[in-house]
Amino acid sequence: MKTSIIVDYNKCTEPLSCKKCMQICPGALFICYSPDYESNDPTEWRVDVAFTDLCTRCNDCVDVCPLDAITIK
Amino acid sequence: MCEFCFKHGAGKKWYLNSRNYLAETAQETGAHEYIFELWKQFEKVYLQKIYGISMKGPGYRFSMPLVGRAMKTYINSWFTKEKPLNGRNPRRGEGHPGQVVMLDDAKKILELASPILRVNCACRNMTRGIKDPCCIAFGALAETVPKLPRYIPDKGAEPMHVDEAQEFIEEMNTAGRIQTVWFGPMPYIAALCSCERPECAAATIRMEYGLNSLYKGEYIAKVDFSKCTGCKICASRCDFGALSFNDGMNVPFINAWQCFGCGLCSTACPENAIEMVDRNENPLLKDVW
Repeated sequence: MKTSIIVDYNKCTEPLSCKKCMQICPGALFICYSPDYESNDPTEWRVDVAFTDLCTRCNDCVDVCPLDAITIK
Repeated sequence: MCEFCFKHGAGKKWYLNSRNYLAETAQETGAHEYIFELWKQFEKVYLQKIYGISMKGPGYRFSMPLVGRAMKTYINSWFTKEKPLNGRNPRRGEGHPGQVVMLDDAKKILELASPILRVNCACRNMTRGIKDPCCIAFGALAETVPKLPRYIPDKGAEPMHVDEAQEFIEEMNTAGRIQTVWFGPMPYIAALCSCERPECAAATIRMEYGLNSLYKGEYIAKVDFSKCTGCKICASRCDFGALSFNDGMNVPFINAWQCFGCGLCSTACPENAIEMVDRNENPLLKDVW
């Protein structure tokens, strides 16, 4: 069964000031990156998930997100 | 002796060959450009290392029959790529493998390298969003990091004295961090990291997918049962799942196939019952890296 974790960027606009999903993930699968690499503008940064095949669907990230931006399918 | 020692060790271990730390070597290999590109785009590089296949779930692809194995072999060839000397692709981590080292060897490395700078760990910054100045950067990396604000520690990037740096890694070792030394790009040596799972990017892809981004150390741990008192302090130290404490026998057993030779169990042992033996003396394990 393939897992995909979707972050809604309309809801999650400033991951660097929150970081709750990144810090709770037991596998450290969340990665915060800036699409244009060098940006110092925090609104440019995005949270994405690498290695979804390591996700155990513990749902911690879904529960901890204050904006309900994360869905696991 | 691992393959790096044969190629770049000049008869010693590769990380104890002072030639690999020289500014000339950095020039020859184009280390400054390589490292700048790598660290500037670190998050993307992590996603892209396997991105050519899929960053979302390489495990799904690797589990495909035949095709998966071919992909794995292809990706593995990136890490040990030696040519061209100048101009390897940092986005694929070409020529950028690391190796686990013991505390004693890590201290010797610090004696060879200069300048020494403490910088924020790129892996932890990426996966946890925390600024943890635990990576020790040498030469080209130390010169590159000041251009990238997110890796400069809050206290500022101050060069460290050798003694200071040795004391620091000792602290890290006590805290349970694994010392690893990094090519960037091969044969130039750019950094000494204090890694921890699961944040360490290289350890994750090594342990979960079997990609050779991180080599095992030159030693393996061996328990002297006559000295062991069964205090279980070592039980929580192994990050690689090699050491398991056996309640029936009241001693730890170490699976030498899985041992990475980091020496964390050995430095924690109050009785000095865990000894680090040379991997190369074992006829089977000398080929396991």
